[in-house]
Amino acid sequence: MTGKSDSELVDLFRNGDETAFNTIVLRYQEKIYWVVRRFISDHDDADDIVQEVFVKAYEGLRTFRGDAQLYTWLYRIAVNASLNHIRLKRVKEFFRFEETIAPETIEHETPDHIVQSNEQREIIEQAVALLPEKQKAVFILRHYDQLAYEEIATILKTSVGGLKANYFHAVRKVERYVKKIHGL
Amino acid sequence: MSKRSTGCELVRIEIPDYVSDRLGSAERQRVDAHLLTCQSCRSELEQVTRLFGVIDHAQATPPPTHYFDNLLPRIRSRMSRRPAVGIVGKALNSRWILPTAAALLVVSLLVSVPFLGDPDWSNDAREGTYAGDWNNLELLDLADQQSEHLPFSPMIIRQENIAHALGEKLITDQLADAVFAQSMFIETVPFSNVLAHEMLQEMSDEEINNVIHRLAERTLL
Ligand SMILES: [Zn+2]
Repeated sequence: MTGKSDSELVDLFRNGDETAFNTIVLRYQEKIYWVVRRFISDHDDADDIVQEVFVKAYEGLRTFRGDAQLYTWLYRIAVNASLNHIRLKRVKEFFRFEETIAPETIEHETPDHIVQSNEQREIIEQAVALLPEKQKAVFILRHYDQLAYEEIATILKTSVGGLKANYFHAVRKVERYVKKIHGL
Repeated sequence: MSKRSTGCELVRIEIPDYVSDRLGSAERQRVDAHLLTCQSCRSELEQVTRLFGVIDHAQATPPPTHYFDNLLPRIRSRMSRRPAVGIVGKALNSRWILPTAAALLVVSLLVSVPFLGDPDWSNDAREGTYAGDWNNLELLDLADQQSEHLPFSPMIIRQENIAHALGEKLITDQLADAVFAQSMFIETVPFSNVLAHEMLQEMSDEEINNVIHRLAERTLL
């Protein structure tokens, strides 16, 4: 089963072969986990979303269009699930039944404190968290997942033009944030 | 000057990919040529190189050991626990009766107050589904009873909105719409009605009361 191509697996699954779905999960679980983790730095939240992504994939595979690439489709589900999680969290914060420190507030603390209490990793996570949605997605997919702009365009259902600029602006914002906090 | 700055802009957006060595040879040569003559793009290059170094160095903490060995069975078990109903079906839970009726009253106020840049409430596929074959007095009674549980007053009860109280689904739709509309204040997030639904489903009665309170606050004060 592991030697089968994605489209063969999809066909098998649609013809009732449940084990084909298992192979799909095993093939993509790490990639999907990591793309979600770039959006959601908390492991437990990410874990929940990853499971949800594959449940959605299972439900959606019956209607999956054969002409789409399985992995871009999975990525798309993962990106949307992650962004939705972030939106939901923001709305919950707004309604005050989830008290968390928004990343924005960190900027107002003293850099000394930040440097002491945060590792570089956290600073970068904060910087990425502060990016607007599209830039965030482009940054993650381009920098961490090393995807081609054409693939990113498919995943985000957008045109290729402008993605390079989105990426550049994202890099620049992350750079400025890190510089401000970390004195890089 | 404008010629030069345009040249810089075109080069700069290539710099992240240049640093990651992901440019074609023609693009790469063009960037190289520009860098030879442009100090400010060279300094941009240095910054991005340094940043990417930091990012590569700052690895995210990996998931617990054996996480990936156990993920598939967990996904399988989640699928087996999932009831075969959609979002709307799940919202039709009995615990919704009271809070949704309360929400109705708030929502009816929301609808009557143009607090947002005219949300398009009218263009709505649901319209017509709650046509009144119910006795209006019965409806007013129902609304009165429910309003005792509300944490605020006074309440303006509008008949055309009371009709919504008849169908929990309609009310949760309305509340979801209202939550959705409010979320516009937070940021311009494309927060969907379906998402609002999802959020409402997860909430306890207390939390729903909070939402109602908060909506009322935002709208009435
Ligand atoms: Zn230049």
